[in-house]
Amino acid sequence: MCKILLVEDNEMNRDMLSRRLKRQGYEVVVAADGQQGLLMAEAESPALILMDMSLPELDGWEATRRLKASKSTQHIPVIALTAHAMVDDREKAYAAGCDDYDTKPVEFQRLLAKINTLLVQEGAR
Amino acid sequence: MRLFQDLSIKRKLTAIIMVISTVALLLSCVAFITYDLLMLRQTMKRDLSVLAGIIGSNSTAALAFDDQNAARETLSALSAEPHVVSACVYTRNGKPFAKYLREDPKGEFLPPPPGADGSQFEVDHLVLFQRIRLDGEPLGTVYIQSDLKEMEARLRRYSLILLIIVSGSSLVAYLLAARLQGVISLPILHLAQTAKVVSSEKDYSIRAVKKSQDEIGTLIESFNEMLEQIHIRDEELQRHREHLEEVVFARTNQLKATNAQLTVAKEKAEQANRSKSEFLANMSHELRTPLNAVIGYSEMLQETAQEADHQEFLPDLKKIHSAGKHLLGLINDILDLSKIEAGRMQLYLEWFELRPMIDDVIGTVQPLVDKNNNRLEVACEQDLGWMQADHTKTRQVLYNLLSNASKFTERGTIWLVANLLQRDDGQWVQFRVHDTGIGMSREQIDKLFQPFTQADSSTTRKYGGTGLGLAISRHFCRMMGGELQVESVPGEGSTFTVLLPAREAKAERSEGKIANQENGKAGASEFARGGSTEDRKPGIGPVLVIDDDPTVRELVRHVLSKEGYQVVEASEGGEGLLLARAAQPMAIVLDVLMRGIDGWEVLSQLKADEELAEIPVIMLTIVDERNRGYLLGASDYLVKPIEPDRLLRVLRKYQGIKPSGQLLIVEDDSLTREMMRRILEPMGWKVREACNGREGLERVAESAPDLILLDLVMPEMDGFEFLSRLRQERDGRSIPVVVVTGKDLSEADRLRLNGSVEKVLKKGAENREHLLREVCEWVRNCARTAVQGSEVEVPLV
Repeated sequence: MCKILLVEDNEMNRDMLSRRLKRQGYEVVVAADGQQGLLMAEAESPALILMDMSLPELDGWEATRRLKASKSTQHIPVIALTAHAMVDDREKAYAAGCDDYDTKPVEFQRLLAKINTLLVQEGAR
Repeated sequence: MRLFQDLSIKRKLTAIIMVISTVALLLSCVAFITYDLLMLRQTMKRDLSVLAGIIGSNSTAALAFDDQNAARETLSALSAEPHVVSACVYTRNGKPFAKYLREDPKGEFLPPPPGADGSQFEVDHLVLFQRIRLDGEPLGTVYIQSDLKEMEARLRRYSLILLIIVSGSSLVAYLLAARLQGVISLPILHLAQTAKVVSSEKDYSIRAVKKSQDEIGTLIESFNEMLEQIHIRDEELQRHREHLEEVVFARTNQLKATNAQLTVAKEKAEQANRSKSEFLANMSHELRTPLNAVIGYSEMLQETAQEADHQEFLPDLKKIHSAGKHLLGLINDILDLSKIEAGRMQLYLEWFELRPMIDDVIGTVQPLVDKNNNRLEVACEQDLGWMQADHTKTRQVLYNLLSNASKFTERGTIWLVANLLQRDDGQWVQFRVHDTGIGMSREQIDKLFQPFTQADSSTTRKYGGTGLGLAISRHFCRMMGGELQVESVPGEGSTFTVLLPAREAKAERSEGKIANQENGKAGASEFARGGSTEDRKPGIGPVLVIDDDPTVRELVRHVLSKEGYQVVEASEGGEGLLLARAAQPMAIVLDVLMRGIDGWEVLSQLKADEELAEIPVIMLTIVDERNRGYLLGASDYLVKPIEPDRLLRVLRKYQGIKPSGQLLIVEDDSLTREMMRRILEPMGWKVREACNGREGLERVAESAPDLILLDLVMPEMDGFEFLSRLRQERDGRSIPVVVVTGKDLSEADRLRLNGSVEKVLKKGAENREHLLREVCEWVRNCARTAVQGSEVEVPLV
C-alpha cells in the first residue's frame, strides 16, 4: 500500500491523523517539523505528503518549496493543511508548489478523496 | 417741461425769477403802449375834423359863387399838412367840385362818393367826410384822407424802447436772481453734497451744516439726526462683527482640537477593530486545533466502537462529535465575520452546476428539517444550468437560510424555489426560502442583518446560534454582486430571497479582492478576468473541455491548469454548447463519441452560432476522421491517446487571439532582448524594449506595462536605480517586475530587491532555453498575481 508522509507539529493531530490513515490501509510515516519533513521525504520517498503549513523551524510553505526544487522529491504530490483559513493561504500554498489544499479541522472523507485523486494521477504518469 | 424738471435747483430758481419779471414788464409795457396809441388815434381824428372845418368854412364862398379855382386854392393849402394824402370838396348834390392829391397837386383822382359825416380808420388810412353849411343850410361836403405814418412811426419807436427795457431789465433780473437764488439753493446743494459723500465714503460721522431756521434748516437737522443714528448702529455692528470674528476663531480652534481628537480616536478605534479581527482570526485558529482532535478522535472512536460492537457508546460519541461540529460551525462564523470586518474575505469564483449544489445542501440540511417535524418542498426550474460564483459561499448562504427556516419553524413547511431571471443587466439566479415559522416584526427585520443580533435576545436562549449567519450571508451575496432580502409577517412566516448574477462580471466591480479557485492548481482564470474583454490579461482564459469520459476531462484539466489555463468542463454536448455561450471560452477541446449529441453535431452547432463561430475548436478523439473535422470547421485535430505537449502547443497558438498585455524588457544585451521577444510575443504579449533603466522609465511613462523583465547590470541607469524610481511613480508602484540577471547577488542586493520584485531569475552558464522557460513560467505567474493583487513572497533563487 502507498506510503504517506505526514508532517505535523501538533502531537494530538499527528497521532489522530496517522492512526486514521493507517486504518485506511496507508503506510504512514511522520515528521514533527519542516526540517525533519524534508529529511523524511528524501529518506522514505513517500507516495504523497500531507504538510501542515504552520510548522516550527522550517514552515510548510518553505519546506514545500524546497521539496519541489529538489529533483529527488519534486514529483511527490503535496497536500497543504492549514488551520489558518485566512486570506491568501490557498494561493500561498499553490504558489509554494502544493498540489492540493485542505483546511483543518480535517474532514476525513474529503481528505481521503483528495489523497486518492492525487495518487491516481501520480500512478497514471 | 421734462427738460425744466431735470434742471438743477439753482437754474430752476433763476429761470422762474426771470420768467416772472419779464412777463410783468412786458404786460405793463403793452398796457402803456396800447393806451398811448388809443390816445393818438383820438387826437388824429380831432385834428382832421378841425382841418375839415377850416377848409369847409374857407370854401363856403367858392361854393356859393361856384368858383372852382378858389376852392382848389383853399385845398392846396393842405400841402402844409404832411399826413393828408388827398382831399375833395363836393357840391350839394355830391359832385366833386375841387380835388387835392399831395403827390400830384394838379393831378386827377377819383374821389369816393360822399358818405355820412364822421371819420373812420381804414386799413392804412384815416378817412373823414364833413358837411359844409352856411347858416345851417348844407352847401357841400369836404372829404379828407390821411395816412397813418405817424402812428406807425410811434409803434416802431415803442417796440425798440420795449426791447431795450426788457433786455436791460432781464439782465438786471438775471444778475439779481443768480445772486438771490443761493439763499434757497445753497443749503439744499450742501445737503445733497453731504449725502453723496456719506454714501460714497460710507462715513457716517460727516454732518451737514445748518445755516437757517427755515424748513431747509429743519431738513438738515433731521438728516443729521438720521446720520447720527446710522453712525451709532454702524459702530454697534462693527463691534458685533469683531466679536463674532473672535467667537468664530475660538470655535474654529475648538473644532480643530475636537477634530484632531476624533482622528486619533478614529485611528485608535480602527486599530482596535483590526486588532480584534486579527485576534479573532488567531483565536479561531487556536480553537480549531484542539477541535480538530475532538472531532477526529470522536469519529475514530465511533468507528472503533462499531467494529468492536460496543453499540452502547455510539450515541454518546455521536453527541461529542456533533457538539464538536457545532462548535466548529460557530467558530467558522466568527472567523468569517472577522475576515469580513478586516476586509480580508476573498471570493473564489468557479463554474458549477446549480442542481447538484442544491441537492447537496438539501441533503445536509434534511436532518435539521426533520428535527422540528417540518417538511421541505423544493421547486426548481427544470434546467437551471451552471453559474459562475463562489461555490462554497453560495452553498453556505443557501444552507444558512434553510437551517434558519428549519430552526424557526415547527411542524410546518419550508419551500426552496430556485429559478433563473433574465434581466437587462444579464442573467440572475434567484433562490427563495419560504417558511411557515414564527416570522418577524418590522423592528426585528431591521436588526436582522446586524452581526451578533438575533431577532431578539431571548431567541438566542431558545434557538441557539450566534446570530452571525444572516449578516455573513448577506455580505457574501453582496460580494458576489447580488443581494439577500427578507419579507416576513409575524406568526405567519418569512421569505428570504437571494439574487446572484449567473456570471461573475458583477461581483468583480463590487468587491476589489477576488482570488480564483480551481480544482488542481491555483487559478489561471485571472487572465480572463479584469472586467471587460478589451483589457484582458494575456489570454489563457478559459478552455472548455467537452468529453463524456471523466478521466479524460480530469487529465486535460490537469495538463491545462498546470500551464495556467482556466478549465471549464462539460460532460455532454448540450451542456457544452450552453457553457460555450456562458463562458465564451478561448478555445474548446471537443470529443466526438459522446452520449446524446455527438461531437460532430456540437461542432456544427458551434460553427452555426454567430457568437461562437470564432472560437477555435480542437477535436480530441479516438475517431480518426480529420477531413470531416476540418470540413466542419475544427481548427485542429488531435487523436487520442492524449499527448499533453502537443495539446499545449496547439492551444498556445490561440492565446494570441485575445487582446493581450504589455510587457517591457529592460536589458542592455540586444541578443537576450531579441530572444525573449521571440518567445514572449507568440504567447500574446506586446513586447517593448529598453536598453537601460533611463529608457525603461521613459517607456513606462509612455504607457504602463503589465509586467517588466529587468536586467540589473546596465549602463547609464542600473536595475536597482530603475526599480527604486519606478516604485516612486504612482503608475509604477504596482507593476510586477521579474529580475533576470547574471549578477551574483550579495546580501545587500537581496535586501534592496526584497519586496519589490516578484522573482529573481539567474542568467547562468546553464543553457538559455532553460532560462527562457523559467521566464515564461514566471511571466505567467506574475500576470496571475498581479491581477489578484495579493502579495507574493519573494523567493530569491
